[in-house]
Amino acid sequence: MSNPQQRKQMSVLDRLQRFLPQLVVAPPFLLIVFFVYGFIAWTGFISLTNSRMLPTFDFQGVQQYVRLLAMDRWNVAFHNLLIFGSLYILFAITIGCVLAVLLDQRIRAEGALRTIYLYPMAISFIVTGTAWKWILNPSLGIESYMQQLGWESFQFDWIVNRDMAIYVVVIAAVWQASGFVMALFLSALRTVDEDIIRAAHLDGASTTRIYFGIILPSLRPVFLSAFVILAHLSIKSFDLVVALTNGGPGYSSTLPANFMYEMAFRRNQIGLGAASAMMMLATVAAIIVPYLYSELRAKRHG
Amino acid sequence: MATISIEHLSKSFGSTDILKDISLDVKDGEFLVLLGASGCGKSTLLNIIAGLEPIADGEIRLDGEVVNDVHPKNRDIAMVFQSYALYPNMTVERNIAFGLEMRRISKADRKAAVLEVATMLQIEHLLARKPAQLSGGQRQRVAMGRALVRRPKIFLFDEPLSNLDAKLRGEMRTEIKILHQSLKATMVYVTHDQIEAMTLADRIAIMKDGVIQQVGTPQEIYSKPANMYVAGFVGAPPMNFVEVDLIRRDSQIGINLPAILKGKPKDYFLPLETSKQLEARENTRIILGLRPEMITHTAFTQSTSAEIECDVELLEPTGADTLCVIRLAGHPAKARVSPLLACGPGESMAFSIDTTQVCVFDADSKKLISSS
Repeated sequence: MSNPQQRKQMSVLDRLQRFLPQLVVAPPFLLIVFFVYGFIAWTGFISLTNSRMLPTFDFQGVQQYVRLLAMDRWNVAFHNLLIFGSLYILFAITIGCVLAVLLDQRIRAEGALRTIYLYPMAISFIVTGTAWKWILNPSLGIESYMQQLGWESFQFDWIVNRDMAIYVVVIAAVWQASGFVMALFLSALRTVDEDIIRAAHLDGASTTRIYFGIILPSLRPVFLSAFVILAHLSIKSFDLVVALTNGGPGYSSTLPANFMYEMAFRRNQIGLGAASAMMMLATVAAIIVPYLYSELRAKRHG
Repeated sequence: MATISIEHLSKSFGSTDILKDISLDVKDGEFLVLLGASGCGKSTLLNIIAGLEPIADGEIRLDGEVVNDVHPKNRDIAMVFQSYALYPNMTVERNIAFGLEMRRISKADRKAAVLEVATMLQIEHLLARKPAQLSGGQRQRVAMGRALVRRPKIFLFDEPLSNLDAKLRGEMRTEIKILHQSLKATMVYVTHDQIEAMTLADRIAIMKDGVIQQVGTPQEIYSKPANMYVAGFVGAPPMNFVEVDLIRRDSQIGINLPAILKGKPKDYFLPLETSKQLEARENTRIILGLRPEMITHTAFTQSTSAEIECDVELLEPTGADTLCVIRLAGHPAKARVSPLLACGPGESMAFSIDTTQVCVFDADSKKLISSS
């Protein structure tokens, strides 16, 4: 008598079992759809209205974008992003790569050195920014120190120099990220078959030649990963600038993220802020989408 | 002309001695195989010959010239690695040509040399590919091509076939042998596979724990193993060992071989060929080494060999032969018989033992006392 009932219970359990993965994945999926993609869409919508202090539904087309592109403040910020992004990526990868190659020579105290190089990544951008602000402050840091040592004519005042302030941001950001890039490269270098290096030695290649001709070219995926990570980090850079220069002198060292914050939350220009946010999203997408595309395509072929 | 001469070579990593006082000579044009289980130091020895590992003690000479401190690239040596060690970012063509490129050989000459080697190895259709697009066997050929193209004095092989499947391994083995016969170059080949060693080698050097146990032709190693380790390592299935007392009965020196017949223990007297070494050890404990083929079916064998009858516990057919597992002196032993003459498991069967071929080892030192 209990058999059919039992079977029915089993089948409910079975059905639950079958849908368990979907049930577990659904809440985070919905949250992501709403809070990430939903708000992207919302921001996109706001950027097409003339919202100021509060969102309005006063649709006015691409007017905000036209305003945005005409603003010197935005153009400075975007120009800064190009300078900052390219130098930051270039130097972080170069320095990280060189450090990794040097550490790869099986030296003593490698563990300690690796931690030292990697440590900056563990510090928040606010701390990095504040520390470098003091170090580079002409009346507190390097400049005054060198002058006290007797080098009276020494000058290093980039942080208060309108034309050079963005390069100060580059220095601090590179300091923070190179260790991370090094760790990325070092782990990849460790997976290189030692026999390849031996074979190259027998073939008569010098160590430099082995690195530049064989090992580094085979690390192309790591270069790509490092590039993508650093690129999106640079586009969303915000707190480092706030702590280091606060965008100054004037607005000479602002980045788009600082511009967006300024407009959306301090100057009651939500529509304009949203438009700048969409511009940043487009920049990130321009980098990430081809990357994802090539990754997925490679997987499908492999 | 290329000879290798190693004298009193020692090497240690930290406090572990990897190689202990190795002395070895390789003649010009010889195919020497370093055979041993993993961790015996054979690969380290090969790397030392290549110059990839520094030496702690001893001397290594190529063509009579001491090369202890000569850089690998100046030793005129090529090496084929177990992992093939192809340069992943280069095409097959550049992989093969890389050594020539480093030696500043002109582009046209490089191209010609690569093509010649590729044709020889039948990989000319793969030249434009990257290593990742090749199968294991093809990578192996590229690795060989990279070694061949430079026409070095000495070739070193570090277990080059161990990543291939059994069939391909057999084919490549033959090709390497043909290659050696046509190039007449000096080759040193490291392997843990005793069949590879037996089939390829002019001479085999068997190593264990950083010490060379025996150097000899495959036949010498097989029929006159210097000690029980060598005897057990070479030959498949391995040699059977029986620990017994050496005795004399009716003025004939021999042993009592304990076997089992119809479930009951039964001793058989096995006469051995008299020799001075054996006579000196009368009434001492020895270990008798019997290869499976020395214990075989009684039909068609000479009447001089000793005969025993015992229970067969298990049969292992291998196709050409069937292996009968019998029990000698309390331990399982294998006999190689014709599949047509093998009886069923559990039955008893008569075997003839060819006592003229047996090896006798000292029970303490495990060294060979005598063999015929």
